[in-house]
Amino acid sequence: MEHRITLSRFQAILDAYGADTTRWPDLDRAAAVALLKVSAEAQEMFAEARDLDILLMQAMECPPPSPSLRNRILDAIPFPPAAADEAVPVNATSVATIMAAIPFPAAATTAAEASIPDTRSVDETLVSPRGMRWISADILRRKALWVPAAALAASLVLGIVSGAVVQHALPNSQSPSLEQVLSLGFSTQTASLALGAPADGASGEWE
Amino acid sequence: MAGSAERSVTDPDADLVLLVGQGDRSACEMLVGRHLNRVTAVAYRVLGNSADAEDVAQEVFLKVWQHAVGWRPGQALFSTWLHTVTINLCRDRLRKRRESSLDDAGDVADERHDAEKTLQSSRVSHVVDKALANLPERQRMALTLCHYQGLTNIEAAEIMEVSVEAVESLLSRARRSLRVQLQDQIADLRGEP
Repeated sequence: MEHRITLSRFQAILDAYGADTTRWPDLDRAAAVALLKVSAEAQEMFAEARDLDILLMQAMECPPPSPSLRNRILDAIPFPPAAADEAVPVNATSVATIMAAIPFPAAATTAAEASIPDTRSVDETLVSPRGMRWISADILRRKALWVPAAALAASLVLGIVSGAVVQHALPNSQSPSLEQVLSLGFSTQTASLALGAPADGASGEWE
Repeated sequence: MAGSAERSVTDPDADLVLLVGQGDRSACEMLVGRHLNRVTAVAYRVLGNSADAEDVAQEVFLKVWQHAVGWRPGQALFSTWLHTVTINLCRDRLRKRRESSLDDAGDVADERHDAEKTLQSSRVSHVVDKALANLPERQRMALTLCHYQGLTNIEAAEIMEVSVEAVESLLSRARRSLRVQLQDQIADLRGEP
């Protein structure tokens, strides 16, 4: 059934929303436009509303926000520090500190051990249950443990450096990048996906 | 609640707000850039001066930052929520003005007009600004949201936490008052003596 409105309702629409038909309520718009086309009274009402709209348009210019406002706002927001800033810097001192804290086996041989001439072959030594002396006969002769210690240290340093580099290269790797989001943006979030909103806006009530 | 029928509309800000909730500075910068002018304009219309409007804008975006982590897309458009926060902060500020007995909204607006009189290039604009500033607070808010911000009556009702009918009534009273205040300008516009 066709929706019709009275002149009284037409006036009420103009009083509230003015002469811009796009602002008229969806429910009444078609009927109001139809009335406007055929009613001289409606057209007179419309003209009066349009005059007020024209005047109100002249007050529309708001001063633009000052150029510093954007930075002032961003400066006031307590952003978390960048991920890279939280990484421990890797340098010789820090590596030495770490290395010093690792309980490597003593590298120095005892006086007694040093005094024993080593007459075994390399093959014997390699299969010896006494340790992991598997590199060379010279090393074995000195009975030093610094090689496996150094290998362990090298792997440790490599791990630290790799971690730092990866962390630096991929900050916030848990989150999608802004570019990713913008490419997705304006997309598929609809009312059915979730409910809820921020807990509150600002305080206060209508008087 | 008014406006629930429009909930299926995709929110163009939803993804950015979620990123802001994760502490993403770039997303926050983009969101500020996208809405700063609008927020400042609403506050300016309601409060009547740029300094207060900019203070409110700063508070608004701080609240965005604080609340973004709890944002749930789907219940309300972010822009609607943003307008709500802006209007509420403006309202708080207007109340403080009254409580401190400094003035009423009209006097503050007059100060603005005095200060900016020299900047007004048009006598008509000045008169219209003054007429708007003289409107009661809620009528000015409704007119700002619907007429100047282009929001629907449903959105304005949600932001102002009143019924759609109440918004329509506020708008009607506002325009009636403006028509009376601006009758000379309307007559000029029509070429009447």
